[in-house]
Amino acid sequence: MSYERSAWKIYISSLVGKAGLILLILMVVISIYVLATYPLDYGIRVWSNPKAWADNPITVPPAWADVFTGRDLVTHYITYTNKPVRTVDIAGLKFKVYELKYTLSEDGFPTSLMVKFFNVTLNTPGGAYFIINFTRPNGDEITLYSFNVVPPSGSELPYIAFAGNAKIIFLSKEQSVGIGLMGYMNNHYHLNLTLDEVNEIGYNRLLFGEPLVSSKSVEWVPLKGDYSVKIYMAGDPKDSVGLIKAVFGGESYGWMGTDDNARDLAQGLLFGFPVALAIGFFTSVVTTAIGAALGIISGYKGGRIDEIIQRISDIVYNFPFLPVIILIVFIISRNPNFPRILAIIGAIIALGWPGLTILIRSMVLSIRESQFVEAARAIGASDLRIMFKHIFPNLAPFIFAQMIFFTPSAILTEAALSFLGLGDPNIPTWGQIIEESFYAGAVLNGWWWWVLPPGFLIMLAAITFVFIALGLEPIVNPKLQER
Amino acid sequence: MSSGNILEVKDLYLYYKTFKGIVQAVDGISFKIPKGTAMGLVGESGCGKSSTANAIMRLLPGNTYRYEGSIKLDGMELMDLTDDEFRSRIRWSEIAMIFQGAMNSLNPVLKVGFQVAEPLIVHLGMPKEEALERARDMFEKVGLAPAFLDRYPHELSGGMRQRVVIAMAMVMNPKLLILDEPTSALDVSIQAQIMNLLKQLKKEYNLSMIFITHDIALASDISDYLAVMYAGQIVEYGPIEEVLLNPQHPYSQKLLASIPRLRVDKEPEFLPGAPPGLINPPKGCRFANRCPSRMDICDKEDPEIIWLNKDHFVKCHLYKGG
Ligand SMILES: Nc1ncnc2c1ncn2[C@@H]1O[C@H](COP(=O)(O)OP(=O)(O)O)[C@@H](O)[C@H]1O
Ligand SMILES: [Mg+2]
Repeated sequence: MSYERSAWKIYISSLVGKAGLILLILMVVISIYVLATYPLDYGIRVWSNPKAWADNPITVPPAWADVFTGRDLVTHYITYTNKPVRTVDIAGLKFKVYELKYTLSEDGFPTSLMVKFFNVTLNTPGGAYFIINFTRPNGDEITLYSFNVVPPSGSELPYIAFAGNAKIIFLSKEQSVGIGLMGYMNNHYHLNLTLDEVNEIGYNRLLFGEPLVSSKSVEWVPLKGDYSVKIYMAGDPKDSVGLIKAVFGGESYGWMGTDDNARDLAQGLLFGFPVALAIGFFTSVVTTAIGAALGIISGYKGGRIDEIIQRISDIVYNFPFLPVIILIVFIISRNPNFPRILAIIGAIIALGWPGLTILIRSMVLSIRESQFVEAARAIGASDLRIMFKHIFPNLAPFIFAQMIFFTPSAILTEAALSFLGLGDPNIPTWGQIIEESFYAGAVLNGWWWWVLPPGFLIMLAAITFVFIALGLEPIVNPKLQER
Repeated sequence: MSSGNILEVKDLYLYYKTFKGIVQAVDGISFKIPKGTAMGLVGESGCGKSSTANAIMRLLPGNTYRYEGSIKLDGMELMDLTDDEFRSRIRWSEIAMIFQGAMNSLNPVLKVGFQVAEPLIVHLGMPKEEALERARDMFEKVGLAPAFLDRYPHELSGGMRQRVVIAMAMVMNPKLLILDEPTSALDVSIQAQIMNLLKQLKKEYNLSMIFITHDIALASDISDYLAVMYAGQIVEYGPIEEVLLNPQHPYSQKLLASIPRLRVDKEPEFLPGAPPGLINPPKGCRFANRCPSRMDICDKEDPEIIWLNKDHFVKCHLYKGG
């Protein structure tokens, strides 16, 4: 049986080794998915861009948080259309009707209602007229809002309005909606409310709820069923709407909830996988390569070179790790053009190599005396060849294990720096998400979905590599095999 | 100007410096090896056999104190070459060596095929595939199946590993092969197989050899000449039959008498005493303290080399002037 095969057998027979490998495969698969589906400049283009998150609810827990609340949380719902369902004649005007449907099935009120218009094409100088109606489960249709869109005088036709910026109508905040609802409640439920009362109750409760009237008070309960937002558009027959979007604000969002910028935390956390792996791998590979190479040279060459390398590694080895790294990153990042992430990786590498150099050197000191090295010298192999073709393979398993061992500390160091606010603002990492959550008072506010998952993932990533390293231990250190 | 000798060594010295003093491991030795012949180099362990080999290979430890003399390979003075020239032109391509215990010191994490091929890669810059192809041929020559190319040393038996080491030495097709105790770590039946392989290679390639051993019987199996070494010096050198049947130096005589023989009633003789240390050895003959024919002069003067005929010398005061 070959060396590789038996090493693999030993590795895979260990429980921690297996667990570590499975976790690593999981992380790699997720990372590949992220790299394939996210833009590379995701951090700048999406994560740090408020526009990307405009439709999302702010600091809501994940959809599965129902488990803790004991009540079905209203799920965030976004729907859109660009095709009229029919045309109707009202008072001699021809209206195109767009319909956006919504079903309320949870025991709660959607927190908001918002409609957005994009790319409205106008073919006449008179423009178009829009009416927004709201249909309740019982079929009642309430007019909430209306507006005109007119091309600016002198503009060329056809004119496209709302091309760059959408027309946003915050129905759950618009006063005309409040007035419309006031009238509806009076007609339908014989409930006399002042505009102030309507404002206090919240338009969303009136839109999606029913009053339970008792002798003393009025209680609002959610009205389950099918709703729709209907948009009537009157204008030139050729006028059209590029897209109409309706956002029914939820009490929960997606797999992981949102932060105070309405960002989908699931996305940020997923993006953290390739970033953590890349930081961990890259840092540990380079650190190990430098540490091992210097150790081999130092041990094999001896003399002055050895002396110099050993003195430097002794000095660097005795630096206090985190404080010096913070200092380095702080100094480098005063240049805003320098990618912060590289400063962090560079600092970890600069301080990380000496431990391995000292270890490898002592191992090379004994290997150097072995006969196969002498034989290699006899056949005429150069020093470089002896060091890297003959000595290195003897250390390779050990060096590999050291590399795996170093990976979690690279990931944890990046997280620690991010937590201290030294992270790269252009690249979301788990450490940064935690930092932002603390900054926003997530702990005090009980926004657990914002704090716990990134912390858990950091731990998971570190544990993955610790497991793998433990699985490698018996291979690298055969004395442990008997146990 | 080739004299028909592949190697001529004259007054070769190799001293080491240690904390205790200077070790005179090779102390002015001379011998010659005609082309296509093998010279056995025998002597007790610690007498300087390996040092002699290393001196010829110019593989000098860091504590080398004195290294001089003349080594002519096919008439060319090797001592005039720089280290770089020696490494690129002579070592392994012209003179190869099987180190003492080499079979147990192959690199444990490299495939043996690669280790055999490596001299070709290093010296000729041969692409790896081609070198491995040549290693495969060499494997066949030393009686190893090509499948073993991809094995690691620990997957092979001792005999197979020794064949690997022989292939590694032969792969550059050297003119001279130095074998330092090539069979001493093997059991007897394997030892015989390896000896047969060496004899066959010697014949097939008209290979010249220095066969180092402490076992005269083994040396006589393959050698055409025999050099007897004692305390850093060669005390007798000559054609194998002459030295074996008619040893001249008292040490050679004692050494031969100490070999147990089949079919001969005589008890093997025991050689009393111990060889002198190589640090500050006695001034006169180094064998004097154990010599049965010791004379006064032996304690005072180092004996000269005395040629008994054109192929046979002895370093002993007994033969002076006569
Ligand atoms: N590098 C060295 N430094 C000091 N002494 C050495 C060194 N190598 C060998 N010796 C000594 O030189 C003497 C001859 O050694 P060696 O050539 O190995 O003998 P042999 O091969 O005949 O057993 C021994 O006494 C040995 O201890
Ligand atoms: Mg020896």
